[in-house]
Amino acid sequence: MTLTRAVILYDFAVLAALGLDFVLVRRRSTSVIAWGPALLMAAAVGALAWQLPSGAVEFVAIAITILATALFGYANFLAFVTRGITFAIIHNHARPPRERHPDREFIALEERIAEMRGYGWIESTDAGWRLNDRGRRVVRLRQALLRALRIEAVG
Amino acid sequence: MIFAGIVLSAAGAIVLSEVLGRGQVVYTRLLALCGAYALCSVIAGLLVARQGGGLAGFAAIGLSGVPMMAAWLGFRIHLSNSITLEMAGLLADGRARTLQELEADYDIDGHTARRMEILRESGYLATDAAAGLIDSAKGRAVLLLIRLVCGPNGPRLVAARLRPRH
Repeated sequence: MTLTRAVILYDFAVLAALGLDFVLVRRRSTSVIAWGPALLMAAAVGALAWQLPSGAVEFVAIAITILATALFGYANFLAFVTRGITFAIIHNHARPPRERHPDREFIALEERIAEMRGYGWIESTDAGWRLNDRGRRVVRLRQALLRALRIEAVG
Repeated sequence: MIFAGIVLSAAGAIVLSEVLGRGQVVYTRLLALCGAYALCSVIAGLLVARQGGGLAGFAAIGLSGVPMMAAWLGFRIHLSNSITLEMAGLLADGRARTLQELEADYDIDGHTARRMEILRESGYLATDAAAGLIDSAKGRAVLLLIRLVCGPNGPRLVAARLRPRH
């Protein structure tokens, strides 16, 4: 097997594994981390690299990049399809006006507090919620990226 | 060579789409992102094919950049649209706030209005609020996508949260 064929085969295998995971598992799950496909595809890297007479190192580098970015993209995709506000607003507006929820109801701030607590970004004080060091680092990174890429923050 | 081609095609597409997009929300210009990726992967693929990579090298670059673009798309949407990150930004001044204070500082109505405005500008929603989703190929396609990937009620967790109130 050549390097390019191994890469193409690995691309299709990752796509098939995540597609099957979505159809069979994720429609009933709220987790966004696909451990099953990740472990399976990590094992496939070794199996395919073993069969390459040359270029095994480059194949491993490509496969790890493909797997890591595919899992990150898939986790984001799962977050959007389970709790995406934009998707929810578009879906809401496809209904007749009397059946729609007010748009402001889609932004549930108490859930965001729970999310920040879960990530370990905030801590509770007598006066309310306050960012901790980890939260401050995340905020600084986001602000730097928004400035560098001149991105409009809509959140 | 193939690894460099994959990384450069994805990086080139990201830079090109960001320069052309001028900071706009990425889901309002998905076609431009896809076009930028197609262009960059064809250029990288042709270079690899000329170096002896052949048609298989060309295909490997085109396919392998897709997960990178998907990862960028998700990251970029979170960066601009995450309500959680925006709320964390409100706390960056070091002052502790209660949920009620955060709600007041966040300006739910202002943020909701901006999201609606973006959806109108990008041609999904009619300018008349009561008219709802525009009956266009684009509107129908996104609705079909939502129903296919999210289910008949839209995003599951949002639907579950809203249902008991009505």
